[in-house]
Amino acid sequence: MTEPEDQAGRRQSASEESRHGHPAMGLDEVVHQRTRLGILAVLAEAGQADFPYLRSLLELTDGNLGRHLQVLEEAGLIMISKGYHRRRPRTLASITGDGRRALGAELATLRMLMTRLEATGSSGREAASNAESLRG
Amino acid sequence: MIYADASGSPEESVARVSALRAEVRRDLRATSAPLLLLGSATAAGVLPQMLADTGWSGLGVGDWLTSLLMAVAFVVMWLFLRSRAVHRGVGRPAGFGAAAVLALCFTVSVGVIAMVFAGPFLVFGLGLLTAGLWQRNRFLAIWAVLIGSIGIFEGFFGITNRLPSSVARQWEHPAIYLALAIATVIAGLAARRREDRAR
Repeated sequence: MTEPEDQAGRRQSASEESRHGHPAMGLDEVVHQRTRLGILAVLAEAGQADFPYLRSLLELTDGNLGRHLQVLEEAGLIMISKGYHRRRPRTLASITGDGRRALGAELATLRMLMTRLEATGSSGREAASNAESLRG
Repeated sequence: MIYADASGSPEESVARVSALRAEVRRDLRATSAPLLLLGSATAAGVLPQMLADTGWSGLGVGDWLTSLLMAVAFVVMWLFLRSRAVHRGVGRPAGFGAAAVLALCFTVSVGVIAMVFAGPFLVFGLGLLTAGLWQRNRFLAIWAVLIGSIGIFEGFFGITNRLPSSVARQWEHPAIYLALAIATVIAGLAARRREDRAR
């Protein structure tokens, strides 16, 4: 099994685990991180975006965006391609099938958490901290 | 900064994802541009036919013109999205090129025969459905099925034949097509307003 496949497998088992335990157990470290979740959301909507567009929309520095893109690419959630536009190098990112599934699973888990919160009456921030402590 | 590194509550995360998606849709004009273009093209094709039927104009042109204008609308949409992808660095024109080819093939080959029976909304429905599925745009796909189905039904005079004979006029058939085109333009304007709210 390749590394991205292995990580996708781990994501799926985490999601399965969440069906039996607390929904927060289904949150994936790679996807749940704020900036990476944003990158996946943008790419899921656009299909493809270049580096300057992502940098300006997400208000990130070059280094920060590059690091997050690398993490997502290593996890097999996005694909990076290099090209040229008017003799200038251009970096394009596009979402993979695994990326779409991971984003869908993350949003489903977050919604599940929201439903649980509404049922128990605790605040979102409390739940986020509970989720962090459960995961970590 | 809105998109800082720390994770927020589930509500904040979901809201942020929705806000980002809305911003991308605004930048792409993903829903409004195809509806406005296709609605206007359909109206431009149907209007001369309606005017001819009411005696206002001698320019009586058939469904083929409407279909041809629809194909042109898909080509323009493909060029528009391609330009956005190149200059703004977001999106790709996936689906609209295929829709244009499909529309042209239908118009110049099997479409001539099919349109005699089903009318130009066969091109509208199939083309927009192709583009909507390719773009993963649920609203476009639903609109394609809804308006395409009503248009094809009217292509067989399904609505016209059900009107009371006192109401029946020669222009009612293109008038129904025009109403569908106007509905598409209105849906496009509403989508544009929704997209602008992301600013």
